[in-house]
Amino acid sequence: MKLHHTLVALSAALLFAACDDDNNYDSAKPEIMILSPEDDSHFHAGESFELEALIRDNEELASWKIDIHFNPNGHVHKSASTEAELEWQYSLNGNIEPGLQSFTLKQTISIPVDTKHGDYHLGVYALDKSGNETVVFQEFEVTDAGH
Amino acid sequence: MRYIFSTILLFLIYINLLSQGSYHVAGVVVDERNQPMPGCHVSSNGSNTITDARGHFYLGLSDSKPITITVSFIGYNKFDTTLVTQGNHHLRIAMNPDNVALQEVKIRGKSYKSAANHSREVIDQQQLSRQITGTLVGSLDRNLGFNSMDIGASASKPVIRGMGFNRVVVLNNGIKQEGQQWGADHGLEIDPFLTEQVEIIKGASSLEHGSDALGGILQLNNNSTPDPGISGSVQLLGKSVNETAAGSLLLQGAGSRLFFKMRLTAIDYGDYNIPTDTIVYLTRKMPCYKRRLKNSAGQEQDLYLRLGYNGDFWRTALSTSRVWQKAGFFPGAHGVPDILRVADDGDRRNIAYPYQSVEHWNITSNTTIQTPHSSLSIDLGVQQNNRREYSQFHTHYSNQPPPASDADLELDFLLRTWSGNLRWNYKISSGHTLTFGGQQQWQNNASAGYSFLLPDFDKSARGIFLKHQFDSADLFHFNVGIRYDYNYLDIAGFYDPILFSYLASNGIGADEASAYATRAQAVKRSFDDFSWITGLRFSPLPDFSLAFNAGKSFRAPTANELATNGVHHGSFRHEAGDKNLSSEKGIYADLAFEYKRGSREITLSPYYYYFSNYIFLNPTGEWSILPHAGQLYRFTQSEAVMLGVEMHYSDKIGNNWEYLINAEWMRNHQKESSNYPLPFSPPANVFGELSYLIQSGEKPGIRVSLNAKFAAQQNRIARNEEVTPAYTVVGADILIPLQLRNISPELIIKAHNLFDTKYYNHISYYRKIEIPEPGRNIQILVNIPF
Repeated sequence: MKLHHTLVALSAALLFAACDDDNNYDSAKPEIMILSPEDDSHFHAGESFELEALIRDNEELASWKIDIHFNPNGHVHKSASTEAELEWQYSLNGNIEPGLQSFTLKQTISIPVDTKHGDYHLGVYALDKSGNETVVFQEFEVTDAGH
Repeated sequence: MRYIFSTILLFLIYINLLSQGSYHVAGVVVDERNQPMPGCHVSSNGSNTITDARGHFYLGLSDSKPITITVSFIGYNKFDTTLVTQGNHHLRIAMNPDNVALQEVKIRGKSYKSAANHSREVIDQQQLSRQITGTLVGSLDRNLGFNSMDIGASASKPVIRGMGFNRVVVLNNGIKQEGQQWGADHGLEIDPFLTEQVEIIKGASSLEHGSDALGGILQLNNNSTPDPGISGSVQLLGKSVNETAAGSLLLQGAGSRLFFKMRLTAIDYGDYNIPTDTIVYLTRKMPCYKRRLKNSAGQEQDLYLRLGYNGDFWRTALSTSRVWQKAGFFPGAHGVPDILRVADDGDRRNIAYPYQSVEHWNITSNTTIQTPHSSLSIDLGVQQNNRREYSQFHTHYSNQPPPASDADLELDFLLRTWSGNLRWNYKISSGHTLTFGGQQQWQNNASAGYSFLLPDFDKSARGIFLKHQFDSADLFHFNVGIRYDYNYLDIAGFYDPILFSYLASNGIGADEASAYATRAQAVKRSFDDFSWITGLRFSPLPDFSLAFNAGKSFRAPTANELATNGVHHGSFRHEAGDKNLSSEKGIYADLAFEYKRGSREITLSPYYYYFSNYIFLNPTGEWSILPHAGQLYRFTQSEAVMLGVEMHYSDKIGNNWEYLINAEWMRNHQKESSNYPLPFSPPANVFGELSYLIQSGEKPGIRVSLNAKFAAQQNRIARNEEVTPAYTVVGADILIPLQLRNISPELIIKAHNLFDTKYYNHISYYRKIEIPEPGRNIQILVNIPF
């Protein structure tokens, strides 16, 4: 029976040693809620829309990024440089002032006049101070004027 | 030159010092097929010894009177000889099988542990043939300290003590298997029916194989010599989870000297079932039509041929194999989730875009020369791994034209590897054995395709080692070894003018655009490292032994860690290499307590690793300017600590019941200002199995087993990993031995995830896109030997 006791004691010692390290790390990601526009909105080329997103973190926020790109069905981007309409691509990022746990991102985004009609992905990214990242996607469609 | 002479002189003195007695008898014991026989009992005039892993024994004699040597092994006729010792004797002893008792011993002989003081698990041919599930690594998941990193239901990579990718070495017939180990969606290109013996070596094992074996080694062999005459087997496998139909034919034969082995395997499977009808990824709800993962179907066709010759003092074999796999990727895994792409295509077995195909060619030669004192083995290998990923042409840069030919070939890696190993094992005296060896490997990678991920590179790696083993009867075994390695890596740069003009046209300055367009930096680096290992096994009581191992291992950084710069399409991360990384170095120690009495077996093994510079992808907190990319991840080094405990308990109750429990717990973290856990860490888990054997007289009976795996919640996660909930999955096995005239087939019915539980495996490839593990699987396996 002695052997069993030794084994139990040893594992206990090891467990104790293992739990000794401090959990001073933050793996929790920020949260993002896109308040506007609504998912599956329709816009016209040449218009602009208001993006509003609420970003929160358990500790401290760091920065945000907006990424808009064309989403042809089945993810087939054919090269389109010769066409009159362009697959619109938009990217913008910014820092959030230090110390904030909650931040409302507001941005007016103008859709260029020559934007190709079709489905687009709207992505909002957020980073906290530790490098935890969240991304949220929505879709919208750019349609003909009068659609 | 003087240096070399003095080294040789020292070496000779060393050998002389370790030799004992005035005369000696050194011998090698071989079986009826000239294969060395480890574990034979050798006795002479009252003293006893056991043959080592290479069939060698050594007896030191102090005076010159006639001695009688007796060699015995269960299942073989006893060998006796009388010698008059006027000088040294060198013997080759060929044992003859006792045909009545041999059948039972065959299996026992194979599971001999080749180094008693390492943390090793050996899985023999019979056990392996019953565990086949379609992937070799997947069928080993139940083993202690071993986890399978799955890519869907049909491919998996090995993880030993929480380390995977380039931190585990896979040896196939002595040659290091080289594919795209660094890639998360890469499986092991080895025929799941082929392997005859698996040895899982846990703990840093750079000593005999150089860089990469930080976590351990998965050693696969199919080097046995077949029985005389023509024999073989047919194996048929059917799985319900993805409608797998698989078959494998083994044909083998041996004459008195020559032998051959041939295997043909074909596997075909459809999309696999998942126990959910919706996947929620990046807040998008993705429907799973008919509860199947779209486009996870695939095919595999494998070929293997081995020819060999067994001489009295040497044996050689040449083998060649081709593994071909084609498997679809879940289209939702490539890109922003999109409902259109996961729509039902009405065909479960088609392989649509995106998919990968892999062709792995391998030619290996294994030669051993055995003398009564020593054995010299030479392994040579050539491998070619060609992995291609196809996806309908798409680009994130609107100015990129589609390629003129093979327009949908996104990535193409052609990796060629030439390897050579030399090992000389010399038995100096009954207690002391020296092993001296060296390796040389050359590697060349060429990339193509309309995307870019891995640069072209040339690599050479060479190393030499010396190992000394000391065995003192049954009381203790000790070994110590040292190794020196020199690696050289020449990575070609890659500049992407399309990306440059795209960024420039978007108003990015020339310097920044040029930095992003440098998709790989040209890097020429050399890495040299010393590694060492020491082990002690102490057996103070017949039932109990204690083993201690410690060592230092290293891993030279890979081409992607040093040079790449760009978005990894599978992970959608902008990953950047660092050309100044140094070799990853790890020091480890482990203890193993083993208790064996009767049918009861208990092992307990705690381990500890310290890395002075563990390489990991560090989130930098800076946004990448590339489209679709979030923040930039850069390969970075930091101190890291890893520790864990493995426990095994097995016993029998009466004659019919058997049970086993395997439990493991591990914990790791970086040592920085914040102690972040390392990514892809398996959670604490327990595997238990209860078996009932219906014994019907002498013949093997039906065996019914029930098993369960419980994994704890993994909440210690690296940044940008997900917490994985705890789960329990239940399985069952029924083994039915049959008898049809003079053949004895086996029917094995296996059930996995019996209750169709929805659960996630923290270390699976699809975990990060929230795809649960495959649903209930009932499989039927038939083994028909002839």
